[in-house]
Amino acid sequence: VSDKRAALSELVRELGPEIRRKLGPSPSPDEIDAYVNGTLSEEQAENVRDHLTWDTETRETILDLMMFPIIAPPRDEPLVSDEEILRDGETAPRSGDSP
Amino acid sequence: MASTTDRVQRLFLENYRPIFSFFLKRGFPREECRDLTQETFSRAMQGLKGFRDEASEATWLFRIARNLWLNKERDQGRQKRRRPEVSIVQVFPEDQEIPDRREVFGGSEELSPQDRLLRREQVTRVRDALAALPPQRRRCLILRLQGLKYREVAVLLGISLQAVRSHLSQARHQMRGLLEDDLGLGHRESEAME
Repeated sequence: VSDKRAALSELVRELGPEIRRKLGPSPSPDEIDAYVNGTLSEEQAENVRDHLTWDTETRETILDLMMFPIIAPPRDEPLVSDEEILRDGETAPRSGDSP
Repeated sequence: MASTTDRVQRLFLENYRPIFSFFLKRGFPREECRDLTQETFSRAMQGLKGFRDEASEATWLFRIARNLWLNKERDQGRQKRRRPEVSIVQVFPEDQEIPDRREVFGGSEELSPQDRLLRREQVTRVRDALAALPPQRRRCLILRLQGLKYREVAVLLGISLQAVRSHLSQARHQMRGLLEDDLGLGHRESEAME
């Protein structure tokens, strides 16, 4: 049974490159993030589902992100925005800076 | 008052995903995002005792992540500057023949033209059979065939375990004809799809 299953898996694996080409570019980090957070439209989510089915990198990234549920911080404090981080980053730290 | 362990656990659960996303959005590959996220928490643990509540813990964590990111960017910039140009002539001098790709990377055994044809036909039939399945059923089947656990399939597709089982059972039923007739897999073998 496992040989037969391996044969079928192998055939499906061979299909991978062709399907990935048809699917087009992999979802961006923002799209992956939105998929994990459930904020994509159904159409966009379907596209991500197709990609994760055939693309190991997308799939593993999503599994990594889903490993931990989002738990709201106890205090009502927003996370720092990308803009704030970039503004902070104007004075780049020295290598080996401790927190 | 929460113990340090509780505090670290809470920090980790609340912030793992945003910190991972932070690195992902800056173009790091997944493995590196994982390492950098771990490094962020490792540094946070080292500095936790000295942390004063002047900023939120999340802000503090993102500052650590940002430092790691900037250091990494700068290190990569340095490495790029140092990396010497290597041409194919240097790797394979003129008097040395360039090896066949298969000698270098290894390759599968050469198939006979008939076997290649047969193989192509099988792949086409599997492709057509998969295309005939409803999307979620198809995804469940392909993910299982790639070795994912039921739970992982459920998490990835955002459906219940029960739904995954049901999709797989229906996919098996729908594909049985193909597996038995075209690929020479019997009933028991087709159950291997589950």
